[in-house]
Amino acid sequence: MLKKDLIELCLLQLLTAEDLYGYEILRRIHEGFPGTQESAIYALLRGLCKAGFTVQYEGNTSGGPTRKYYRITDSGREKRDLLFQEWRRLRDALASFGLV
Amino acid sequence: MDKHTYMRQFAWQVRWRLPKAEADGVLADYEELLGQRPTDQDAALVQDLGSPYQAARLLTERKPYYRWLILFCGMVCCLLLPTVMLLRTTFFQASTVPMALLLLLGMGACLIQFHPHPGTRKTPVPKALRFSLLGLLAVLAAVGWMLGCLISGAWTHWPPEWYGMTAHWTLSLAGIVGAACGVLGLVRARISDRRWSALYILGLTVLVVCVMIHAFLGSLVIIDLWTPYAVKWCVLGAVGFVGTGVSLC
Repeated sequence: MLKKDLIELCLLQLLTAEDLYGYEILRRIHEGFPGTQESAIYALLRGLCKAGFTVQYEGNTSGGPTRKYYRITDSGREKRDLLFQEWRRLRDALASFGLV
Repeated sequence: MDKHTYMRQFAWQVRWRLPKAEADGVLADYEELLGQRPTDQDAALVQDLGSPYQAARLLTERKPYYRWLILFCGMVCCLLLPTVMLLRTTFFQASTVPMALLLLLGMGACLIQFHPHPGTRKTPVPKALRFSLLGLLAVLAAVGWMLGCLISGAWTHWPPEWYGMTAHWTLSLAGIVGAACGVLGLVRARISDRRWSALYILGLTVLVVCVMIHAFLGSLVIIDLWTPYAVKWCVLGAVGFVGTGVSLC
């Protein structure tokens, strides 16, 4: 599992809780992965959108400007579960070596 | 780097690397993302987002991008080959067929790559493109005038030993201008408006016609027998004009 997969997992998990707009997603993920540039996070987010794991729609907060929101799809939830399983397997493997 | 400069450089990179529809989507997203960023964080823009080049590279899908690069190189080769021939004055007797093939190949590839997409909103032809096309037409007219003078013997007070040099430089300069405009047209067609491809087609046409005229003048054919050759130049020129018109639609 690469860092890219971990960020994708976090992106999908973030969108499971609520629909978010681009800047908010980038800001939150960047806080968790400060070493990763926001453009790389955006590229992953766009990749998930192109693969059909998320969808983009236009919405606006009360009285605020129109923003592009992202919503997770059913296949996105499946992808998230798959990535999470992989992460658990990896964590267990590391634990067996006394690393976690 | 401020947001405006970043966005401008990023737009160039993205439009060069991604297909138009995708580039439009990415740029709209970035416009929104940068718009929501506090202005006092402008100094950290490159640090947070990466350079415009890096950011665009991350979004590039290799396969379509390499396909575009190969096509671009192919179309540039269609300009380069006649230019080299013109500058080195290495012509062979039957230059019509290879020149016609290069014109058709370059024009066909250009028309396929930059065809209009259904549902695209019609906008006026860019002013710079109109001026560039008119400039190229003026260059072509200058070549025609030079050739006319040469054939009709209008240069009575002009030393005969200058005829060859004048013709050579007029055709070479016209060909180089055509080739340069062709490359400019290709780049602009990719990054701004697809109708700039008209400049590529017209530039290629001017170049091809210049090579053919140069080949004729450099051959040992008596200049009075120019009519059948002129028909070929006119046919290729007409094909180029049709292509230019189509790409402007």
